[in-house]
Amino acid sequence: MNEARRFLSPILVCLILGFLLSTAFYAQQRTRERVGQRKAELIEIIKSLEKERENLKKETRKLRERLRAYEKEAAAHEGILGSFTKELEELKFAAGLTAVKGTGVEVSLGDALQVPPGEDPNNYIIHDYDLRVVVNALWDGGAEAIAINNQRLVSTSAIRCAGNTILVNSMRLATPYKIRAIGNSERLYRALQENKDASKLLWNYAKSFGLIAKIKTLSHIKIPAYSGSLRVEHARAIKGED
Amino acid sequence: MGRLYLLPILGLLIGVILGLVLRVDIPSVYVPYLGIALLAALDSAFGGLRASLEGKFNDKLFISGFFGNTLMAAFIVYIGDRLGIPLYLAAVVAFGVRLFQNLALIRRLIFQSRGWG
Repeated sequence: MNEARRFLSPILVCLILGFLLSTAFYAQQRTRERVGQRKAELIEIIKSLEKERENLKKETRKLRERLRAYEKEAAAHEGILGSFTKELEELKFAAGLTAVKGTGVEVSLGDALQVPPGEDPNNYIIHDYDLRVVVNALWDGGAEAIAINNQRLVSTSAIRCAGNTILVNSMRLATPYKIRAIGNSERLYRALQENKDASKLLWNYAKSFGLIAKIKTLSHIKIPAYSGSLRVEHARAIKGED
Repeated sequence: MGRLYLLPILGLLIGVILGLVLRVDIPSVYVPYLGIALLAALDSAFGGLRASLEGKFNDKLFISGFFGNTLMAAFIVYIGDRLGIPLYLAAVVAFGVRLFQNLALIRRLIFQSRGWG
């Protein structure tokens, strides 16, 4: 009996230890499951929303085509409407709602292929502000239409960062980025050279960090029409003022 | 009577089964505390095994060490958390090193007692 009592405290300790072990094991497993589940749910939501947007975009395109057909039909019948329609076409052209072609440049930007160990990986990837610098330089050089990876930039377009992707017109783009601009090729190229930030990015940083940066002047570029929504909900025009 | 040393192992098994059956739901905030407490408990258990192999086992020392270390470890994590200092690393390192030392000594003692080397 005395022998057995000697083991009382080890038994107690081992019991508690075993209990702690299995409880910790169970807790860890549950946390892992929960995180995985949440992630999967979020991915599902994003996928379904993207699908929905695709469908809506298709519908927008269809509706715009129908509208155009109506306008054409109306124009054929009545004179005054014809001049309005012409003006409308011109405005749409200027607003970026029609596909356009012409001469211009194409700037390709891409992440570096590898990051040397111990270096800040942020220096080796293309960021949203890099795209903005190039786009602004191109506008400055008289670009008439710009698209990034075939996303046409219009007055409401934004280029911003979302996690490890860049959003343009709320579409997720991935490296490499092709920025196409229509305009006088020489002037556009010069604008890139003369813009301080753009030239630093395209010639200095690209070289020292191994980023992809290529500029091509092209004689035939096609830039697609903007296909997103243009709806303004809360703003209202003021009448009688500029 | 000679197999009484199996009793603690039986206790361990019962504890594991108890934990698996009861499935105590610990809020994820407290999971780090549980981990450190577990490490401290493991350290004490191996310390006790070593002491008993050395013939220096003391009941009261063992029990107080077990609960004291476990609570102290959880407290250190709590303080570190409050101060923004990763003090749990100190606990992990200290207990980890001691665990390995104890294991090495236990191995040596078993070898000696069996006359293996």
